[in-house]
Amino acid sequence: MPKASKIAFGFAEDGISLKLAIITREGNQVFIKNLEQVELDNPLYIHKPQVAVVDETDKQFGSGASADMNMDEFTAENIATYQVKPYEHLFRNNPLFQGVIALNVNKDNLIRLPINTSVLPPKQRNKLVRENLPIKDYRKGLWQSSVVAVNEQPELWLHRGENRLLEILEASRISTKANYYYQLADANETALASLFAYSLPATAEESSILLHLGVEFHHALVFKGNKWFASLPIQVTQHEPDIQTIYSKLSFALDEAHIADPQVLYVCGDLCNEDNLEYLKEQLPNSAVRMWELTGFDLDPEAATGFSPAQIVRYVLPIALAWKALLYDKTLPHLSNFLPGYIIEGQKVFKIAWHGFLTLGLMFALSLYLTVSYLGNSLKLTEAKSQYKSLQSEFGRKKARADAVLAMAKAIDAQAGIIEAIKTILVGKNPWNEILTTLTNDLKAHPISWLMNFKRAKDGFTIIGMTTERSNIVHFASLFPAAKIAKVTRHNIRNNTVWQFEIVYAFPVVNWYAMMEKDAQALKKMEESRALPGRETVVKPVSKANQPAESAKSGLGRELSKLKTSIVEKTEQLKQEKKETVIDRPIPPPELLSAADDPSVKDYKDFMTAFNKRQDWVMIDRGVKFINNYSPSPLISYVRWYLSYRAWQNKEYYRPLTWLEPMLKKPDAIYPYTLMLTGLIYRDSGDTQRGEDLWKSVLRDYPQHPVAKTVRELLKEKP
Amino acid sequence: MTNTQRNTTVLSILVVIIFSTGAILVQNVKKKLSEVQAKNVHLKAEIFKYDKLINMQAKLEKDFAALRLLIAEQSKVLVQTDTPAGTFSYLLKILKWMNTNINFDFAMSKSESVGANWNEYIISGKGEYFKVADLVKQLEYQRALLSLEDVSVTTDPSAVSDTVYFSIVFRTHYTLQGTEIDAINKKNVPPFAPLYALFKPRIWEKPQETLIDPLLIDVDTALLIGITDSRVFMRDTYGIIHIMSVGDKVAYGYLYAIDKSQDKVIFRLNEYGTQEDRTIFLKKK
Repeated sequence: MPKASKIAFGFAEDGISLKLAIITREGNQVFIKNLEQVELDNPLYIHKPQVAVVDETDKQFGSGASADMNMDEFTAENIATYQVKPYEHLFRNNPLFQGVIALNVNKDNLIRLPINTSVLPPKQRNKLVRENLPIKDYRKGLWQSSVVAVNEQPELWLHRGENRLLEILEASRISTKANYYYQLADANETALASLFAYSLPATAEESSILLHLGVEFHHALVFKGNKWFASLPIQVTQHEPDIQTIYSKLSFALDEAHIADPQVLYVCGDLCNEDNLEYLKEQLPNSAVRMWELTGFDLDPEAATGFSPAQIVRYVLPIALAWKALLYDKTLPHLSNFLPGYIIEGQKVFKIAWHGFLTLGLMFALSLYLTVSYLGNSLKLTEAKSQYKSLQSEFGRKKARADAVLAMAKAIDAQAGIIEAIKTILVGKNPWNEILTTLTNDLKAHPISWLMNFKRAKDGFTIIGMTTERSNIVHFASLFPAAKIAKVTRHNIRNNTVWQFEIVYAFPVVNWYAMMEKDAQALKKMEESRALPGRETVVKPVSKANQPAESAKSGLGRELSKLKTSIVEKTEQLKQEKKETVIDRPIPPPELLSAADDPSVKDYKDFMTAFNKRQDWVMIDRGVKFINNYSPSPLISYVRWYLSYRAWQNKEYYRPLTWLEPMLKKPDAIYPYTLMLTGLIYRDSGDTQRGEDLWKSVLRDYPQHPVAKTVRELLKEKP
Repeated sequence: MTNTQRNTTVLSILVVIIFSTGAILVQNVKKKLSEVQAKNVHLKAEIFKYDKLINMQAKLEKDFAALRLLIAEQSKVLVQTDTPAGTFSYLLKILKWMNTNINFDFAMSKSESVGANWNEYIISGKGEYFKVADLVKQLEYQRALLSLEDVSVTTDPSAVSDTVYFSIVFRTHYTLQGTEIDAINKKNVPPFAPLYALFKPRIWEKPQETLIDPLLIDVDTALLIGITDSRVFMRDTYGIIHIMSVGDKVAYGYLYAIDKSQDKVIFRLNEYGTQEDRTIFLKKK
């Protein structure tokens, strides 16, 4: 694709002359901005070593670069080995990078091959080229071709070999590190024919000849009307031919081509001067001989001075090239271009081949897919976020309500636990009112008796009193269990015999359980209405037969229990599982279990059944009843231990310590186990030191006991 | 490399960049989407759970209200927290409920806050036996769970009535799930019933002067000045003449009999804890 530019630089080499024409365009107007010419030391195209290019004197400093150097091998380093040549000033003094460049090709490198069609397929063209070029040049790609129609006869113009003008321009570009844009490399004839045909009016019918008389390029272009009819080279061998020679050669060419004298002869080029024009006028009396004054061009007002028509006509060739490059369009007549492919290719910055299109297609498809996918997912994400916000808000509201509900449920649960704790704490406690009431009533009933002192003993209490009747003392000793008459002494008060006595008792059992049971029953009744699983079995054990009906009734309660478990106690379960593995060795069963007829054994077994089935409420209920009902039984220690163990599993530390407290005071068969469990409770409740002290006491006092192994493991663990 | 190849290479790199960037963006969006969707699923599940809980709210509120009533009427409750001030205040409250006053010293002796939670206190003082016994009863039977670890009572050697020295060691048990001590209301516990001064000595060596009604005549110091069949005339140390008949009260007792024939009167007295007959003869001038 040609580059649209407002300025064009036309370079034309003609022997030792190198001309530059700079033309600009503003709208439809084209202006000649500058015309320059340099004389070369030697012509660019001489088929011998190019002494004009390489300075012999520089070889002593050179790097071995030669004039034959291929431009492909040309690098910026080679520039230093060249002297600055006149054309380099020409190149460097003009801003070539600002516009497009047009140059001519050497006429001797052109081969004109007649063809049958104006549209030559590439295969045929390549075949034709291959037939007319050395195979080496063909394979190297040192050729360019264009189809040109002269007198409506298509011809393949084949340019072969190097384009020296292009090479020196490239060298300049590399040395100046500027960006040149080559628009056109054209043959002199086509460039001139294009401009000449363009300058003729479309309706012109007269025959005319454009005679270019350059330094070396002498050529006649024959036109009929504005159509290019023939191209006649003027074969002149001498360097600066005279007009007579030129005219004779022209006449010869016209005769040979059977072309009559033209109606108008336009002359241009370096040899176009008054004398020569006068001579031609004399020789061609029937023709109008004129200097070709370019029409359609305006001189740049800023540079108008100094360029007369006589001067301009000498620059027709570079002007034609620059003009063609500036207006490079398919509508131009005689469009040809002999720029090397690599130059055209190199200038097509945005050209895309089939693989590029494939990649573009892939890119488009990929972008489309990713965009659709991204947008789709983004939309979903937006919706999901919106939903999340809405759910979060709803969750917050409902959580607050549910927390309140859970708190209530927990409070109800906790109250049941509190009642059980109270029952436990009160076991064996608060007998004082019972004692004082009994003593007061009884001493009142057995006059004359009174107490002097009432105090707590080690495991009970002691009374010291006076009575006038010795038999009363025996009666007093029967008031409370485990009474011991410690002392009876006789005293006389005003001739009255009185007996001072001292009796030690054990504490009577006060049935606090019954009182608390009333409270517990009221709570159970309430919970039963909620029908939470586990608790209903405390009130009334459920047989397997009626379980379905019960479960149907207790669906809501079970649901609540499940939810509470899932929300509050998941981590609890994990911890519990871990704990069970820490001390999974049960304490050995008590020996008394063989006594089947003993009701305490039966109740103990029932208690253990509840323990094993993890019916905690049932187990606690049975355990506390057992403690109350079978006070001196050695099985009580086992019951207390299992109650404490299960409570510890449930992360309760208050109740188990109250259960275990009596066992710590009176060592029995399972005392080491009691120490171990108490230590565990202390550790998990935060008093690690106290727990470890207890374990160490186990290791110290019972090193061979089976529990010692568990204790050692516990001591290794971190809480 | 030709321009087209270069352009294709650039385009290829662009494709790779677009693909990478796009894939990362899409993956990020997908990841975020899946995270948000997972959160939504989780939230929905949680909301579903909470919905079920909330559905039970009305029933639970009813139960909870019933529970509060139950706790208010419960025989025993564990207090929520305990401080010496709280317990002392509770003791004063009990005394108020008893409608009496007992002076005692109060101190905290022990505390246990790991596992079992309780504070141990000692109160000691002097008071009437009935009141002390009633205080013990109230401490044991009122709603707050106080375990009485030790109760000691002894006679006041100088006392002439039923005043006793006492000391009580008790523990106030508490738990976080318990009831605020200030919120505990009175439970109707009947007062200590037996009306017998258990620690009051019944026989003593010296008369208990504080028991004498100063308006009654002391037969040991009074002078019998006259006897009739039904009347006795006695002059006290102040010179006042008292006219008495059988059954009239005197210090430590009453006039039991008049024997005009033998000029004697018999008083039945309980001056040392046991009943004694005191006979006084009319001295002939």
